[in-house]
This record gives sequence, structure tokens and C-alpha cells, in this order.
Amino acid sequence: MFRFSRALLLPACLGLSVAVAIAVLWFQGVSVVAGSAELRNERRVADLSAERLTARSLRRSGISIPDVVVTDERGRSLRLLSDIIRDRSVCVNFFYTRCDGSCPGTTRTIRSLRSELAQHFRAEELVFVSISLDPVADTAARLAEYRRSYGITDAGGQSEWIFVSCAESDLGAVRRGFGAYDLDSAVDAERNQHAATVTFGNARLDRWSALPAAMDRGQLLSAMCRIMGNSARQRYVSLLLQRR
Amino acid sequence: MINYSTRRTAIGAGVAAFTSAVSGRGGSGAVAGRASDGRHGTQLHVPRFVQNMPISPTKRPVSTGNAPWQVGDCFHGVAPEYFNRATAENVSFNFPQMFPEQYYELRAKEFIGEVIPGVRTPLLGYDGLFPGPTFRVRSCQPIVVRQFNDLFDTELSTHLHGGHNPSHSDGYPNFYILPGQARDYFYTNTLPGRNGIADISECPSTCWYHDHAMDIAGDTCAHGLAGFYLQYDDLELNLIRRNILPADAYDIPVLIQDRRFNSDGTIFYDPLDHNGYLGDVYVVNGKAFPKFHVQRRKYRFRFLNGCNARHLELRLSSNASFLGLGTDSWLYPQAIVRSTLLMSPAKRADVIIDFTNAPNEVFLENILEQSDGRGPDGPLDDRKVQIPGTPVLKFVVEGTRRSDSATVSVGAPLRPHVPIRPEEIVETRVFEFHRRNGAWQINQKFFDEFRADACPKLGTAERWILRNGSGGWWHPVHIHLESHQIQKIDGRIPPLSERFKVDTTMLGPNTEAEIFMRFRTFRGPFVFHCHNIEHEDMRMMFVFDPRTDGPMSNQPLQQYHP
Repeated sequence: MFRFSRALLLPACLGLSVAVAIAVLWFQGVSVVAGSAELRNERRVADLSAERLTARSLRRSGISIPDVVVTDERGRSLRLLSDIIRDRSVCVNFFYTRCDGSCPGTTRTIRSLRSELAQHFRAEELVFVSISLDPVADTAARLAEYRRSYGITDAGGQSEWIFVSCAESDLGAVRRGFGAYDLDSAVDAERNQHAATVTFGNARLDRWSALPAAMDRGQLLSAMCRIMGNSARQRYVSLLLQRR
Repeated sequence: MINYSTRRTAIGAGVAAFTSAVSGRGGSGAVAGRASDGRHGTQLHVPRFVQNMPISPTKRPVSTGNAPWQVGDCFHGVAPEYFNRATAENVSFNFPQMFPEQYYELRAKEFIGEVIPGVRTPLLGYDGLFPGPTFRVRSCQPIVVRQFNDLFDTELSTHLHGGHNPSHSDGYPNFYILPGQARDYFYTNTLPGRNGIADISECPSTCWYHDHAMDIAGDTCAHGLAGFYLQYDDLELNLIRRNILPADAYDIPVLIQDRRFNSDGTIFYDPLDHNGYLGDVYVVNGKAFPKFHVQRRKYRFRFLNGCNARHLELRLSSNASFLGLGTDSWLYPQAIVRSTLLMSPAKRADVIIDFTNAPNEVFLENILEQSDGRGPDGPLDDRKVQIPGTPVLKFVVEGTRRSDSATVSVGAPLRPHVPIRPEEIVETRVFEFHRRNGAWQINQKFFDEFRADACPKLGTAERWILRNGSGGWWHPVHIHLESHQIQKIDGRIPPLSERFKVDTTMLGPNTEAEIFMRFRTFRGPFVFHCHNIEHEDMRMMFVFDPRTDGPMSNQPLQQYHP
């Protein structure tokens, strides 16, 4: 009897230790796999070309941003497309200085995106434009005061950020061009229902998108890099290195 | 590259010069060089019903049994499930593989097509074709498709719409194929089941594949990235062998889309118009307003609404009915009579048209009125229609009656249906769709690509309430991974054609749908979203992530494969 159970015990012990060993290896294996996924992504980032993309698709976007004259916070008269956006990447939002709804949050979001994007884009590659929905009240002086009140500076290699008002008669076309309007006329007429989205694109490569300003900021930044980027590296590095 | 720029000059230079002259400021980048007169409707002359409707070629495998390359040895790799097929996580994927694995290669390319006769149109196409090649695959025969992105300017993510596929290969919106790179898509062609018995009621017939890349799928799909993926199992092959269902030259996949063209031949598409893209030219299998010659017999047509935002209600000008075989991917239990085919974007209608006694000319027409991208005019059950509608496709009926026509008729048994019983339901979830400040939310939340909103337990079924709280907008809600069964729409039993298995549920303004759905195959993440692609691009999307423990909500994703 004794001999019998001992004979059982030994293989049982062996089996247990083998099982423990397997379990340990398995858990280590899992962490090694997780680690290697990150390593793999870093390796993949190294594979991404930093070369400026030049080839353009034959298809084209049908965007209709009007090249209207706007006044900026320094009182300069500038054309929206040919003087401000040019062939740069651009981030556009609509706001008005008296807004106590979504605008303050959107302005703060763009302020932090602008400083983070400075790590990905050279200052001259990118421009930020905030367009007033209340062009009569939002004079150059008021726009300048608004910009100042949010502590917006050009320090640290950040890209230009221009606050503008257009002619009131041009506002409809400008909003339509950037897709910031509502087909429901009641909603559209309501200024505090205005689109709290940021529209961004790369005018040189003719690539555009828009997203809600209040979404997760890391994911918004990743999408902006992907749409506005001038090289594969600029576009996809945030995607591959973004942490869950 | 040289080739491209030369062609671009040929097509675009005139317009660029014109725009520069008008604005008086040449060379101010891409924006000034665009042609977008298509905004006000297609200005080109579009001849009607002179071109023949083409049928996309069947995609052939590179090899069967032996892989031509090491599977997973590409930039985006392959699904972990490829190497790990019999696990507890994949509840039912330890199902015997009955045929040797097949290997395919598919390349997304830019090319010049001729949608309108004599007009050169830049398109995007799988294998340089629009529509892409048609996959015809066998159930229980897994395939690996190495997909290359040969586009230099756009990332892609291919969704196989209506199939059971691992998360890595399902077209999760940011599980991309980056430009110049490749991903091995593992299409399992499996069936869910338990204890080794396959649930053949879930076997899909008419799937399709299309681009699903985050934020930009409206553009890529509008330019042609879509194709059919037809799956056959023993049951359907028997229906074909016994000449109950038509096959081969009498079984025709038909992709219907609406497009607008600029006068330089380019497709008009404004990525900053988020309401929904509408066209004024119907493009059927890649040709504007084509005709199709048919014999006096029964034909099976797999109609697919491949429009971005236009809903269709199809009807025959001869007043004849359709014989309905299935909705979306799945055959009905029995063939039914359908007088019209209401189809939101992404929906399929698998039907028989019997031309035996038809007049010599029959038009397929769209009778649904839709004034803007938000959706058809009027509510779901009182939508505006106009008869006669807009002719989309002309059938030219030729010859004498064919005696060898397929025999399917009303009531013919097709695929058994296994209803989900209320006692199987372990969880009820409510999803309410809202519009807020120009963007979309579900349950007051924006889409988060790292948050699994719903985590059903694998092997269970759930009840989902889909509620459209966004005013006058329509939202066709597509749920990935498995079919769902509509119980009620606004408290009433849905029409017969929507009563069995669907993968897309149409929500009209203020509509509420109650659906049952099983989660049986792969762990997530997967998305469900509005299939108005402009709404989808504005991230009207949510994540569900079936897992072994649950049900839960708001969890981190189980896996991530960018």
C-alpha cells in the first residue's frame, strides 16, 4: 500500500512541477509577446519613410473652401486660401469670442494640440485658423484680446495660429466649405448649436477630415497627424506608438 | 510615378490653369487646382443604356494547400487565431477544416477607368478593377488573402462584410494596410457551432468587401474600393446541382452606386460634406446606366446597395415581383414574394427575376425619393416613393423561353433558420444615436478606438435596443461579426424580408429597433456603426468586444493590431 502511493506520489510531484514550470513559462511568454509587440511597432516605425510625399493621386477632393478676404487679429486683410492656408497643413475651427458654450473648451483643446503637434511638424508646415461666427462683433481688437486671454503665444517652435473674421455675407459659404453647418435650418440658425468640430487637412496633398473637438485628445492628435502629415513617418508614428 | 504625373498633367492641367487664371494667383497648392463643378450635378453627357453591364471576374488563388509565402511575414502580420485555431476563446472555431487552405493576393491600385463611355475617370480598385474581383469560396475552406496597398497616398483597412473573421482581419477601422505595405487577411469561412456541429443556418451566401479605413472610407469607397465575396456550402451547392437555384452565367452579382462627376471626368467627392454623399448618375458594376442582355429564364441577382448614403427601393418597370431568396448575406428559410426591394447602403437583396414571360425591355428602377444625404424623404413606414422611378439598369430580354430554367418558386425551402429564443438572452443593452454640435454620439459618448463599449460573453446571446434619437436623419446600423435577428421595429414585427438574419438594420427618423444577436466565434474588438459612410467617417461608431468572461461594458480592448 505504502509503496503503491509513493509510486503515485512521485509522478504526481513531477507532473505538478512540470505544470508549474509550464505555467511560469507561459506567463513569461505572454509578457515577452507583449514586449515584442511594442518592439515590433518601434521597428515598424523605423521602417516608415520620413521622405516628404510628392506623388499625388489623380483623383481629387471636391472641397469648396472659398478664397475670401478675412481680417485677422492684427488687422491684416488676408485671403483665406491663397494667403493663409496656401499649400500647408491646416486646422480650422469655428468660434465666437462671446461664446460660453463649447468654444472655450475647443480653444483650450486646440491650444494643447498645437503644442503637441510641434513635436511632429515643423512650424512652417502647419497653420491654425479660428474663424469667428460673429464677424460683426468680433473685430480685430476683440480677436486679439481673445487670443491674449488664452495665453496663446508662438513660443517653442509652434505653428502660426490666426484668428479671423470674414465679411458677414461670406460666412455661409465659408461654413459650408468647411462642412460646419446643419441642414436643419433651425439648428443651423442657433449659434450655440454650432459645430464643435475641428476640420483639418493637408492642402498640398488635398486630404481632409473633421472630428469632434471634445473627443479623446490623444486619438484626435493621432488622426490629425495621419491626415495632415507630409511623410509616412509624420502620418503613422502616433498610430503605431499610441498606447492603449 | 512619372507615369502618374504625366497623366495628371493631361487631365488636370487645363482645369488648374483655368482656376489660376480666374483667381489671379497661380501655384497656390492643390486646392486651387481642383475641379469641383460636379457639386452642382454632373455636367457631362451621360448616355443611357448603351454600355453592357460587366460582370467582375472570379478571383483565383495563387495556390492551394502550400503557402506561396510565409503566412504573417508582412508589415501587418496575420491574425493570432491563424496559429491558434482550437482555443477556448474561439468557442466554435475548433471546427474541422474540410478543404485545404487557399492563398490569394489582392492589390488595391489607382487606375483610369471608363465609367461613362469615352470619359477617363481616375478610380481606386482592388486588382485595378471596379468593382473588385469576385471571390467565390467554399465553406470550411479557410483562405489567406495577402492584401497589398499599392496606393501611395492613403491607408486602407478592408472589411469583409457579412463573414466570421478574426478581429485582426475584420477591417477594424485603424487596423490598417499602410501605403506600400501588406496585411495577411485570414478569412476563415467557418461556421459557428457547438460540440463540433456546425450551425449551417448561419452560413453566409452574399458577402462583400470594401474599404473601412477610419475617417476616409467615404472617399475610398466612392472611388471604387468594393467587391463581392460569395460563399457556398453543401446546402447551397445542392440547390444549384438540383437546378433549383440558377448558377454561373445566370447568377449575377450587381453592385449599384450613385456618383457625381466633374467635367474633367473625375468623381466629385467632398470629404468635408458630412451629411451623406448623393450622386445623380447610377453606376452599376462600374458602368453608368448600363444594359444587360438576358434570356427568357430565371436569373439570380445579388443586388448590393454600394452607395455611400443613398437608400434604394428597387422595382421592375414591368410590375413583376421579385422572388426573394435572402437579405444581406443569408438565404431565407423559404423563397418569398417581394414587390419592391428597400435597401439602405450596404444591404443586399438576393432575388430571382423571372424573364420567361417578360416584355422585351424591363427597367430596374429606384422609386425612393431622397433629397439630401440625411436619408430618404419621410419616415421609414411612410417614405416618399414615385412610380415610375429613376431607371437604373435596363434588361434586354431576348430569344424564346428556355426549358432548362431553374425551378425555384414561392415557398421553395432554402436555408433553415434557427431563431434566437428569449431565454437565451443574458444581457440587454440600449444604444441611442445622437447628433451633437455637428458630430455623432452613441449613448452621449464619442467613439473611442481603445474602449470596448460592449463586451458580450462568448457563447451567449444579447438583446440590443438601437434607438435613433437624431431628428430627421436615417442610420443604417451595421454590426460586424455575426448576423442579428430583428425582433421589433417601433414595437411591430418587421416585414418578412427583414425577419430572419440581417447584418444591417435600417433606422428611419426616431425609429427604435430591438434585435437579438449571438456571439459565438471570435474575440474582439469589432465595430458596429452607421453605414451611411459619411456618418461613419464622422465616427458614428461603437466597439463591441466578445470575450470569455462577461458580459461587461467599458473595458480596454483585448487586442490591438494597427
